[in-house]
Formats: sequence, structure tokens, C-alpha cells
Amino acid sequence: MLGIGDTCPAFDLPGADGRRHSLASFEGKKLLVVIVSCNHCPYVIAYEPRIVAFAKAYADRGVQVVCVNANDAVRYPDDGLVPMRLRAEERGFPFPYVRDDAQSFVRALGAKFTPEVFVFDEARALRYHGRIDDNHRDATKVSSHDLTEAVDSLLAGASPKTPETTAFGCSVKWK
Amino acid sequence: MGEGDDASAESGKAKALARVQGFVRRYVAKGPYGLYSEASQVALTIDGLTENLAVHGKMYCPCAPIEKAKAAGHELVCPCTPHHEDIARQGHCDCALFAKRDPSTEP
Repeated sequence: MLGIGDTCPAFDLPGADGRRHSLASFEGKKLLVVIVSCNHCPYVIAYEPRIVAFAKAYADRGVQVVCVNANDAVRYPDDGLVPMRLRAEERGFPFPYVRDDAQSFVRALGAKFTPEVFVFDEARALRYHGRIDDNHRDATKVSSHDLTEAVDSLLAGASPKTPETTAFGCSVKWK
Repeated sequence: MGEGDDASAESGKAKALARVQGFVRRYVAKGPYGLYSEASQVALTIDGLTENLAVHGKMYCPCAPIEKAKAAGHELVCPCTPHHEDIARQGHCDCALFAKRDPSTEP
């Protein structure tokens, strides 16, 4: 499992947009926010509007969001590339939504849940890992905006006050 | 929703929570599995089961969309049909509530 300061594992994965996306695709971005995600998890579904809003709000500041779905699509057909494309279109994802069918990238990250967030700095060292915030049910009742606080700190040239929180949600559906 | 309705909903949730907690306690005491190793995840799943019991009438798996769980009948009501297979394969059920017992932490 990646620890704070560890380097982002390499990846080269097909996206719901029909293109491939690799670590090199995002060269020059100040921060790379990898969110382990999927189509069917109710916790992810609850967070999707917040993820989209976050990606749009920070895009101009050099923050790149990538969502990666590694769930076993045999047991969970809703997590295959075609349903992913439909989801991305329906929700207007402004970020690549990639499929890790071999589960190797998500295993290398050490992710266990969806959604689970990994924020890498410009050198692609891990600077924040954990949850998006502390209330999946109601965005108006969030008391700890963990992801945005970490990203704001990093953009200001500081380290996140809380570099690790406990991610929660559905388990990644391993093969 | 009036104050009485709030109180009734709260009372319903409290009863549902007691039922879920009782079920989980008994299942772990009598069954072959323990709880998932992260207490916060266990608490989250118990909260989801409680919500589903209070609102939808059954302990539907909170890791499945509720419409899908309802359509699956009893299959996705905790303890769900696939949990044995899931625990055998990945060490825990898909909601990360029940898990293989860790002999090193067993009394």
C-alpha cells in the first residue's frame, strides 16, 4: 500500500471517452487527484456531484482529476467500460474515467474502497490519501472537507494538515 | 413533516439500529465469520443497514443500489447470498462488514 511520499504507480488505461490515459498524459499538472471509483456503489453515486464540482472548480488551478474503476465487471456488469461511458455522458464527467480491468493500478495504490482518494503533487509523490469528506449522505452537513483542504494546502505550497484519513464506502470488487 | 413525525422517525431508526446491532452480534457469535478489521467501516455498514431497514423495511446491503437490492428479492438482504463466496475469495463481504476470522486476534 502506498504511503505518504511514495510515487504514483505507472498506469496506461482505457477511458470511457475512448482514449487511453497514462501517468504521462497529465505531465505539467500541478496536482493529480486519483479517485478509485465505480458505477454501482451507492457511496460513489452520492459523491458524484461533489466530485464533478470539485474537478470543475479546480481545473483552472492545474488540478487534474482521474477516476478509475477496477471492479470485477464479470460479477458487476454495471462496472464495465460501456456502462462507464454511459455514466460519464449522463453525469457530464469533466475528467477521464478509466477502466483498470487487470486491477493492477488500483492494487498498486493499495486502495480498498470506493470512493478512495489519492492526491499526488507535481513530482507525483502522494500527499493526501483517504476520504473526500466526512458525510456521504448530505453535502450540506459536511464538517470536514478533507480533499479540498488538502488540495488548497498543496496549492498554497504547504503540506496538508491531515495527510491521511480513513476512506469508507463499498469495497473494491476484487477478481 | 411535523415534530411528532420526526420523533416517530427517530424512534423507528433507534429500533432498527437495535435490530441490526443484535443481528450482527448474534451472527458473529454463532457463525463462522468475524467483523471486518476497520471499526469505522463496520459502523458505516451498520448505519447503512439501519437506514435500509428503517426506510425500506429490510436490511438490504448498503453497498448495492437500493433499487437493485429490492429487485433481487432476498439475495441482497444481510447476510446476503453471495457473502460466503465473497469472503472465501477476498476475505470479506462486499460491504466489508463480515470477514474471515483472524486467528491471531481471536480470544
